[in-house]
Amino acid sequence: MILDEFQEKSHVPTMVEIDKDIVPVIEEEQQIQLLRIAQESLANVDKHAQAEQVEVSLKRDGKMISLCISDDGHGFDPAHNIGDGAQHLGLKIMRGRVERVGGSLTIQSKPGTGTQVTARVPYTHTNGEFAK
Amino acid sequence: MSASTDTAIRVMLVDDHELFRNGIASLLNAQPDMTVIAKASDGLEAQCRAVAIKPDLILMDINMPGVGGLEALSTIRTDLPDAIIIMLTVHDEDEKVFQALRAGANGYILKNTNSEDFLRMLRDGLSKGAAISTELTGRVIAEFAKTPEPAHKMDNGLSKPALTNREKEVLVLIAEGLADKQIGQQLCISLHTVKSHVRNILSKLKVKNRHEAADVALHSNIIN
Repeated sequence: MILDEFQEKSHVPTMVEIDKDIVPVIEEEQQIQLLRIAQESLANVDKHAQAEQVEVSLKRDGKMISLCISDDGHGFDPAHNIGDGAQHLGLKIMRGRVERVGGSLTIQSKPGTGTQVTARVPYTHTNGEFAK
Repeated sequence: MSASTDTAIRVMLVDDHELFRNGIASLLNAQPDMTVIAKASDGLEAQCRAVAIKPDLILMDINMPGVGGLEALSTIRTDLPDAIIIMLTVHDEDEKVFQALRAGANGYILKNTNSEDFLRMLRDGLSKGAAISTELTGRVIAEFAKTPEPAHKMDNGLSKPALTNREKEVLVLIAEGLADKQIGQQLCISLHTVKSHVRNILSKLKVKNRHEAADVALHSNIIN
């Protein structure tokens, strides 16, 4: 639903790749925080990136669940505050969210080359085939 | 009419319902003396934003997914002791009201309040430091009335249930390392009486043994 809202508001074509098998086994708090991270990232794309394409993926990555939001917009330098620091605060909040559920956040971006935000949280489901 | 940014009350709204956040923001931004400077959708975001922007007033819901309002209230109260934090919620259960007030909320307003009363309570909260929906006031008073009168402070200002003079004498001797029998001999009281005093002292100071009681006595400057 947040992806539909984003596309409607920003008119940026969004490619979505979600591993539906893992969605039901992500812990509730992890789901909440990953959802908020996705919302914040997409809001940043809409506000700052001037992107022509966005890709969102949610999949299993070994023992981790990986949420990745990437765009082809004009990027930024993660080492510097942006404007009045609002975007910097947004990234700090995202980092707080993912760390609260035992995960980590990686931001790759350079001016002119787009941005990729990756949140990884530990996969905790221990039942049946998903434990492999 | 929007507020002048120099003197307006800077408000942060914290609620997981976007429609509600936007509605309250519109109401507040239409006031001449208020401006909404930030919105957060949960307690974690509220904690980060509050420290960064130091709002004059925080309006916060209690039930939010992830970090809820009561958890965020405790953290923000520690980080920003002077902030006015008012809970704005549907929950009118005693437990939540009392928990919020004990955790340092300046007020508790129910969401079914009308706009006029709501704005009056916000302004009261800012000018007088407290704002509670009237239907809750009686319950808060009743809860307060149940609380025992605070015990007198010890001579040194440490706020604990009052020790009697004899108990203080016994505590001094405990801190000096005397055993019960020696305490009895020094104070000319029976061993049975000493043990009774020691039990009372441990209970009043909420400690497990005489060593902990001695620590309390030393740190409270009862003994030079």
